[in-house]
Amino acid sequence: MSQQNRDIQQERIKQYLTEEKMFKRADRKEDYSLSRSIREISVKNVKKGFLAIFNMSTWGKAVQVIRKGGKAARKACTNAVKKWMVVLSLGRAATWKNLVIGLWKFIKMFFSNKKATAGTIIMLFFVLMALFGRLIIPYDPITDENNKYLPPSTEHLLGTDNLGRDVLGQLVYGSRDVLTIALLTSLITVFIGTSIGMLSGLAGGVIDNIIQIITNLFLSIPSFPVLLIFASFFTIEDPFSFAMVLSIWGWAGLSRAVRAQIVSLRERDFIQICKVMNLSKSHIIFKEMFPNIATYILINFIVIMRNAITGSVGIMMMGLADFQPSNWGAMLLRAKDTGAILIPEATYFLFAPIVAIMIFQMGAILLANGLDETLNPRLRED
Amino acid sequence: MDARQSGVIFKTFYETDKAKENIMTISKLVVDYRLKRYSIRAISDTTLNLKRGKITALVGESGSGKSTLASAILNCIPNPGVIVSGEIYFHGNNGEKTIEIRKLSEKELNQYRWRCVSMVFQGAQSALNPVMTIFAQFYETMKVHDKKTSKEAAYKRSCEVLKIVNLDPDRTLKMYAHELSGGMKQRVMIAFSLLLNPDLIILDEPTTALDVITQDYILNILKRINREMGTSMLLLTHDIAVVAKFADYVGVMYAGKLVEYGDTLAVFEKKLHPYTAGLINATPSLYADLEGLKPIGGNPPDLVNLPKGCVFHPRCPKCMEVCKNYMPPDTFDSSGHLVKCHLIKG
Amino acid sequence: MSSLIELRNIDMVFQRQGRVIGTKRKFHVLKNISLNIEEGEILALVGESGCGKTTLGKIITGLLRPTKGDLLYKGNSVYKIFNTNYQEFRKSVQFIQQDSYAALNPVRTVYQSIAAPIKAHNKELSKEQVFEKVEELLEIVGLIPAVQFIDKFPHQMSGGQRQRVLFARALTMKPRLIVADEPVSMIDVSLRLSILNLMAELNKKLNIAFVYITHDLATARYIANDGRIAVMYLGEIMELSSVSELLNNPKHPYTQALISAVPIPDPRLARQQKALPIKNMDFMSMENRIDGCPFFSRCIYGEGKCINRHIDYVNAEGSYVKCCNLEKVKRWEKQV
Repeated sequence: MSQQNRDIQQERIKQYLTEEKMFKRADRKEDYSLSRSIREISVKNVKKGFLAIFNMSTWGKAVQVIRKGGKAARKACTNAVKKWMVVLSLGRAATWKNLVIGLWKFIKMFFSNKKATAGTIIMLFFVLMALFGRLIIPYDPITDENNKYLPPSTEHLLGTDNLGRDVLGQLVYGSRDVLTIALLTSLITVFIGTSIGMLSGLAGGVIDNIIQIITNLFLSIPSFPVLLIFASFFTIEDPFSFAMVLSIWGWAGLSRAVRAQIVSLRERDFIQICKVMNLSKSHIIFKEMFPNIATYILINFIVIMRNAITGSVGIMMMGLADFQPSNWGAMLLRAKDTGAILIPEATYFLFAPIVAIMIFQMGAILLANGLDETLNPRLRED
Repeated sequence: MDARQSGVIFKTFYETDKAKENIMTISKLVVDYRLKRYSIRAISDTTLNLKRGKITALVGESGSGKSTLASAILNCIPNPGVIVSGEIYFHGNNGEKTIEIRKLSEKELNQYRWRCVSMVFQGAQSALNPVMTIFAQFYETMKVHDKKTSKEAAYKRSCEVLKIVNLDPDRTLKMYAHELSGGMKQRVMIAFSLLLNPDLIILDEPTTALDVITQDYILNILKRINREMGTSMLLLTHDIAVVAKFADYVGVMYAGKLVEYGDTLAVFEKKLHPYTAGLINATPSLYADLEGLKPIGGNPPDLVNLPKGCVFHPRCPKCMEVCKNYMPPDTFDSSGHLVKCHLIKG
Repeated sequence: MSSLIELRNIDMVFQRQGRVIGTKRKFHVLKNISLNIEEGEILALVGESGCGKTTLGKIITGLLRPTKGDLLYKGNSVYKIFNTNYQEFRKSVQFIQQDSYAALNPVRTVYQSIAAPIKAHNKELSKEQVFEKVEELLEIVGLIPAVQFIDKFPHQMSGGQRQRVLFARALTMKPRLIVADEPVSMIDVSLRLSILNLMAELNKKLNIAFVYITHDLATARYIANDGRIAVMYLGEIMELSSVSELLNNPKHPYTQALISAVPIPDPRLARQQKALPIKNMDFMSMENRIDGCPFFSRCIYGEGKCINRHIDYVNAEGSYVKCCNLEKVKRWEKQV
């Protein structure tokens, strides 16, 4: 150590001993602005921003809410996003500069992965279709018996269905509900799964054993038949209740994985030392453990969306959901009921929703894999 | 089974005058690790002679390149490492036939590995197969090298090598890896390396994970093997106290370069290179004076951005202007003592 | 005046699942340990790996509770139920782990790791004050200029720098005792002395006591120069004495064997070292302990009276030695 550094060290030691009040140095101001922690954002603003996102039932309403909430709500949302970026260690720092750098690195790495880019484009396409598709391709519910099962033409790009309605229009109209259901299911399942997994992992002992037995029960009984039973008991009228039904059975796998991560984290050195330093349990859980599993949860989020779509389409095909006829699952239901499989002209009507689902699934898988590869340092080829 | 007797078949031979007293000559070796965006030069331009029948030690810390050197000698550097240039000559115990490692074909390499040169790895815990008994692993190795090995012959040889390392063969051969203690596992690994009676054994930090008493015991066993069987040894370590006790010749590596090499007594006495002097001054001992001890300032070398000129100059207390710009040349002493420093003029 | 930390008859037994379901294997990791640590002293705990020194360190810090025995902090038992100075004990005894990479949260910057305990215990400090405190601590441990290290993540720093961050974090609680578990074994040889010098500095200037756990006698001698060394073997303390007394006149046969096995970094002297005074290399395991001296199977002075009875500490020339056959042990001749 150089002599100058040694002098600084000795001075600091003296300060530590005498507990002198810190003298404020004027030239420190710029250092503060550079290294200010994200905790500057007050908790209230974060909550407001989050609740705004949760309260909506469709994406369209969210934009309205933010616009109505005014500048404060908008700032809260951006701050919340910033904070979650840090939590997910995507931003990788506590300063603006590092956040932007980290985000740019992430974007560069992510989009250099071709599969991830493809996945993002597909998902983005569906999201846009759900949000704005109705403005471009209108849906005409008027039935026209004469025009049934028309082949694709300039007027009806994917032909018409058994009652003469435009297939593409139905597809676009239905995408909004489908995506909403998928998103809501994901959110609810992730919330329940993570909470139960964390509770089980942290509590240990008897509580852990009981929860694991219950989880085993949920895992060993196949989910789809149970979903059908539930769906026939509860009436499904809107996306929210649909999402609830779908997530009743889906949380088990995620909770098992989260529990495993928590159990392994519990024994790690940096968590043990929190006990020595007398840090509160909530600090250990939310500030030390949670950021380490956040990436895993995000990826599971996308995977669950995929499963939700399959589940929802399946339920709708069974006719257990009273829904508008434009939903993809409802389309398939009608195709099945009206014997479209046997009518060759009805191929487009039959296959349009199936292909749409397939493409969506593929997009979700590619996106999830891409995220995993980018965020998980062990999978990178470097 | 013996490399000398069974007549290992190699195709190409070289003539060199170094074969008289050296068992291996490493000449101007350069090894790179080629990653996607940049490459790391693990060993740059290293020339090293291993004397026959002696224990040579290589001292270096993290990033010095000694593990890479061990892998290079056996030509099994893990991907993405690649030998860029340089040659490794193996002269064998009689010095009549010299082969060059990089030019060996796959078949010749398989014969070269373990019969001519074998290796004892760091951390014996993971080097043994957990689902096979010790004897099964010994037998498997011998069978791979010579298909005609019978089980009795293999058993006899296994008992021989285990007796050399002071292990009871009847008990040990039936055991599995997890039933052995750390010291016993390391002794089994040494026995393993002696199976085919190699001319040179490379030991990569053989005693780092062991306690002091076991370390002393194992190193004494190795010394006895060297004296009685004439096996040359290359010992890689970061502990210079071990080197002082057991090695005949010592080489000091820093950031992939060999900065000093010579007879152990001479190196410790003269301490020609500042890094060597720094290392010796930074190692506390049990009885010597505590006053002169000082750590080496600065940080370990960053292999991605090596400093210009001499690699040690940012941390060198005797750094001069010329050290910052020009690589120091190799200076040889009359006794073969090598130093790579601007301070020492030939 | 009671000592800072006093351990009385500490016993630690770990239980694991046996090979057959339903049975339990017992590992008697620590047996009857009694130790005093005074304010501002450095105590080195030396022993081979697996002898229980890390477990003892964790018990002193309060991370583990012994199956038997008592831990007193400033004369008051820490394990009493309604203990009012448990909080004070918690803050005054801190722990530094061996692996600096595992001891830091990989997704937290240095600032966040060090600021967390400061904020948790000093809620009234403003953000600028916390920042200054973090800076002050980083500069005490030698990471100067502090702003260069404040926003770094653990994987962006070298081993020595990470170890210093661990020291800074331990200092946030203003401890009176720091238990350092092999702090330098994972650091390059050329940098070890700088960390040891830092520890010596903190000990002298800030009057912080240290328990330095290691397997390396040479570094223990360097740091504990006017302190004491305790030599452990298989969960029992074999010898406890001052450093100079231990190195010049080791009394226990195990200590003598240990000293003769430590290599000396001087070739001329190293070649003159004598052979190991050890009978064989068989270890007694911690699982099936027999009463008596744990070193019996390897001791060259071992006799029938060394086993199957309780062995007491003997006070010999200022050191505490756990040996019943001390008269027969030859006096140690220094070889250098």
